[in-house]
Amino acid sequence: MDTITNMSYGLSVALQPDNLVWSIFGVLVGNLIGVLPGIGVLTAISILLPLTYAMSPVAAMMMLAGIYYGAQYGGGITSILLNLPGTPTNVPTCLDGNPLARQGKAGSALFMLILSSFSGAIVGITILMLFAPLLAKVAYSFGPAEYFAMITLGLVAGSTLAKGSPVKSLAMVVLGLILGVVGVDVNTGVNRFTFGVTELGDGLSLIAMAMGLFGVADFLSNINLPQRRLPNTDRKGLWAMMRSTRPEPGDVRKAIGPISRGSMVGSALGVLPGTGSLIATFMAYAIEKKISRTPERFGRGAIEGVAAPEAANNSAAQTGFVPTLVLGIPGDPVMALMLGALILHGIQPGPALMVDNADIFWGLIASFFIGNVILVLVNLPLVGMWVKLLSIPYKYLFPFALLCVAIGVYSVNYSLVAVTMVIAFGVMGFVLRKMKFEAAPLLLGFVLGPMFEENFRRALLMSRGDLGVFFVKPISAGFLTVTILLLIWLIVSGMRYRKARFSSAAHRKTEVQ
Amino acid sequence: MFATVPGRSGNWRRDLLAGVVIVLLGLLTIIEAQSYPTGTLARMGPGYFPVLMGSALVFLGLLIPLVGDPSGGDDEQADDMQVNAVDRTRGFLCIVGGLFAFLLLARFGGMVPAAFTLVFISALGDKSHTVNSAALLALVLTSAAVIVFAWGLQLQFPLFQWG
Repeated sequence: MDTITNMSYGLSVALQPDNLVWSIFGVLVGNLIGVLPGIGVLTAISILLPLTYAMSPVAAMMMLAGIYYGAQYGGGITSILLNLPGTPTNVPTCLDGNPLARQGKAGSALFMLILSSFSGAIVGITILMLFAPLLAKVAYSFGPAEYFAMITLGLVAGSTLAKGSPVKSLAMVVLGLILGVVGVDVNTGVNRFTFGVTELGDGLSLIAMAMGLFGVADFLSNINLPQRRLPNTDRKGLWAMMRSTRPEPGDVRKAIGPISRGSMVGSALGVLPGTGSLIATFMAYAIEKKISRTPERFGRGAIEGVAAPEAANNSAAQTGFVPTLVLGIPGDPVMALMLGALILHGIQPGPALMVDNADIFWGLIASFFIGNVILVLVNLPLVGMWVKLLSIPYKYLFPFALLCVAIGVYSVNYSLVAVTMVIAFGVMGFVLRKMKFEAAPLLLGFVLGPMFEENFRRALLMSRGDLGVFFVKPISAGFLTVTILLLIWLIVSGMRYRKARFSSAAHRKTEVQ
Repeated sequence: MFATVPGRSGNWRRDLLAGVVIVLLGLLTIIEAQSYPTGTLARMGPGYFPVLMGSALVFLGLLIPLVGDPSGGDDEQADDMQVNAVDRTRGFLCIVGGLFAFLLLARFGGMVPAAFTLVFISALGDKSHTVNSAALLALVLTSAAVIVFAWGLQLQFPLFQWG
């Protein structure tokens, strides 16, 4: 029973006081971030990333991972109580969670949120535990062609399926790949795109980029925006919604099906490179609505509409670590940042990670268990406090966050170049956002860029320049076929949109005349 | 031709600009990559991959205004309308200016003046702050930073230093 021995080893790592404290800290920060709409997981992780330099790699990963899955819990709370999705993955939860709260059933909705989040996470962790070692065995036989194909699918799917215009997202991925080129070329030792700046020889700093694109750019876009008024933030309104703090009879029985289906969808999509928890959540909701005998209840307070997507996003948040740790291919930008953090600590993700850094791998999994139990314990008592925090005005919040960014990035190696980079990326992120580009695909491209180029070059070196190599090997051919099908589907649906827009525009024009 | 369609003209112009910027970035990449050896497909030099990516960027940039943006982003557009240009510029200048002040003072001043100035200047970017409230916020946050970063985390960032 290898798994049991490994798990008990993992638990002994996770329970070391140092690791335990950081893991709990991360979970609580994540929970808070999830509750606060507007401050995303990416912003939080990038602000805290420099802090991890002082920590052991194990503690660092536990804390950063805790932020990620803690946010999945927290985001559901504001979705239900205030109809504000704390993170994009919580959007489907609003659809039925908020109507439930308005009917005075916030208690049963919150209970269901926590039950399904926890169940989904446990399913995800179990699959991570069982599947990762199997995948690692297969991954040893992967060559550069297979890696290139998988990264390609990850880049295309991860950028185009998430949010915004697919063409713009692809452009951002390519821009990220180009930014990843900056620095010394590992094969020839030539300095590329450094423009004579010595500090750029090591490449652009991931921390500075993430903080600029997600932190500073956020503040630049949100400053002086009128604050959205939050409904029901006073205690009285809250208690009115919490009238029934206990689940309705039959809720748990009704939720078993949605929770198991949601967990399956989430786990499956989490494991695939390029598909993160966002798609899983929406898919789980759609499936429940489709197979329900009473689809008309959805959107009006169906408890299944809370259970399935929350189970899905939490299981996907856990299984997303499979491709990240085992293959070194992150499924979404958050995982890309996680991967970057590992590399910053000098740890190379890949099939050997499980053996070479067993403490990180199994300790991390054990910390997921502990973190999820803590989330269940703290979430209900803290609901009141989380909601109170929502009323902190932005004018106090952003200077605080800006200070953390500045001190954090400067203290990495006391280099002014890093701070300059943060400013540059902040302005760049702001301008890109004005033109409706998403910054997340850029980060994905940047992190995967060096690996992408390296495998591309090596595969073609081995095949003596024959591009057919990518289609001769079955695994590589499979991944590239999926990528091509995805691109065709995007083009077709894009055309359909353009046609619709054009005909509706023409229609409007005739009306005007 | 889309420019004549009411309500869509802003989006169309935005996408055209976006496409032009991406094409320019792609061209810059290709030009800069010319200074490195390209090599062949079998033996790629350091310039091969950047040229390839630059070309991809040019292609995608041309595609952007042609395809349009199905996400639209109309609701966010509405948010933009609520912030007038003066407030937006003020916020932008104060945040960027605050960071540049931090940059200078971190080296020639130390953590305390750098932190205070950053918070003070950036807070003034929010139009509801007054000089007094910004100074108070800067005082509070600087003290917090000293406690957390200097004493708590023992960062090697001197509180005061000259040159």
